[in-house]
Amino acid sequence: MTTRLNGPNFPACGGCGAPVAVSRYNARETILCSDCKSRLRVEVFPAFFRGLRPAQKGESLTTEGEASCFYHGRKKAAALCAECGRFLCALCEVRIGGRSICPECVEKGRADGSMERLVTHRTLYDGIALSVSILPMLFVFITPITAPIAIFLALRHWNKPCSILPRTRIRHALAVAFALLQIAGWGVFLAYAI
Amino acid sequence: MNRVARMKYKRLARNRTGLGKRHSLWLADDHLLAVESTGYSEDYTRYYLKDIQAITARLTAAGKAWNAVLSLAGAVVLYHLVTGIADGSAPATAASVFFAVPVCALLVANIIQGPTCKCHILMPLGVRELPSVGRVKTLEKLLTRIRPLIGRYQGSMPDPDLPEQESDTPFPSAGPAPKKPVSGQTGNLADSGYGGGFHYAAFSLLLVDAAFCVLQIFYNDRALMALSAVLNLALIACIIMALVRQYEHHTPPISGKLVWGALIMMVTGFIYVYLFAIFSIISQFKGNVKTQGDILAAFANIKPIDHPALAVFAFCYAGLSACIGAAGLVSYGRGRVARNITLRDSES
Repeated sequence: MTTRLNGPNFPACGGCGAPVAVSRYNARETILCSDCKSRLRVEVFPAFFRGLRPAQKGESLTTEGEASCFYHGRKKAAALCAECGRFLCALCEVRIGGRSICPECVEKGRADGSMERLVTHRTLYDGIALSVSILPMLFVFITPITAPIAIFLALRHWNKPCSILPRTRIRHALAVAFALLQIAGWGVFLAYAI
Repeated sequence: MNRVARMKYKRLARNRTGLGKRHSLWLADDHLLAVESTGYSEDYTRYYLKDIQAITARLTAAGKAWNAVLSLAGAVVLYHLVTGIADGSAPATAASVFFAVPVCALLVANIIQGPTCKCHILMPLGVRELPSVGRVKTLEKLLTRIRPLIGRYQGSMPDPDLPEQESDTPFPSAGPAPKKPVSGQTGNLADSGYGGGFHYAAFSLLLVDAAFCVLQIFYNDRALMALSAVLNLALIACIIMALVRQYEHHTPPISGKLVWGALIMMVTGFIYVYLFAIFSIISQFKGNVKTQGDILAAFANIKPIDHPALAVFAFCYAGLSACIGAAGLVSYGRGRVARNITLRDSES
């Protein structure tokens, strides 16, 4: 059974906030807002008309021999955690990427970043290392300090998970290359100066 | 333990907004991934295809405004180029060519990309802006790509004879319509930590800079040049601080754009005058400039009134500076008055 979500959650004009009439959904061409006359495109999908489904509570145990949920001893097991193998009732089961996961494994996956689907933030150490190797070249005399720092940053975080998007290690390599060139340049300069 | 294979993403849209932030939109098998990147970190927001309720877009005039600005800039630059070539003035010609190429390229690119829009995605728990979808063409491509996938996860549209769809008004059981949807702009109406000092200072200094510019067309010496340099430094500092503040606090949108316009105008003016002066010094003094003091003296000796191309540029710069300054003061003041009225109404 579905219930409609109450509250102002329907397509509206991005300028004045006036709601768009149902009959004007999916017109596949620009329409005019009834209030501010802004030109709008509205594309509505079936999920809009279905509203939110209430969460499942889990069935109680009916017979003695039935498997029960690890977290709720009186509820029937409906699924198996794909990470740790625990039995889960319908309430405890978390569906992520087509797999059933228990709440503890979800929290563990979020904390250690092993579940990519739960990652919401990543630090790009390769970008930081590359900036540390390039930007100080504007102020040449600090490069003897920043070049080793750039190499350290690049090598220290070489194997750390970077962006979840497709990304090569070219920035790490360039950071190390630029830093080594700077160190070599200082070496040559000092050799000639001395 | 089983681990899911690394997700495969395909990029759908990319846009650059804000202070060095890049927004992009990627498509995985079962969700859209909105990425906000600074180059040093990334933040991810997932919109699962089975939950997307609607995508709305409002066409904006930003593209047309850019066309107008770039066309005007291109016309001014081309005028300088033509007069520079006609006068045989190498500095004016060189500076004009330096600007003509990128201005014309930007204009052509803006025309090809088509109309601009602001796109929002409606999810069960609210509305979010999609900053990466800034053009209507990008929106069309996005909708074409995700329609079949959404059809796979959500099925077909419900029976059109459902009671909720009979009337023209949406959802009689729903609450009152929101005044404004959630947007990507930082800050909110209740945020009052910034009094607008940097904005007022920047717009006021633009007016002073315009006056200085007009004065320097007819009279130039080292003292005036030094004063102008200090004024420009202060102006750049105020503009940068205003830009930082407007991303932390609520600012009237037009004022925000005017601040960006002022920054672009100043950078353009610096580059043009610098190039012109360098070429002028080279052609005039032919290697007799030896020290920094000679260079400064040579700069101070350049009188725009003696160089028509530079004089016209200076007049245009002064006019634009005065317009941006005046418009900024008026729009920021009006915006703050309107916001104070709204705050008062919401409290009462």
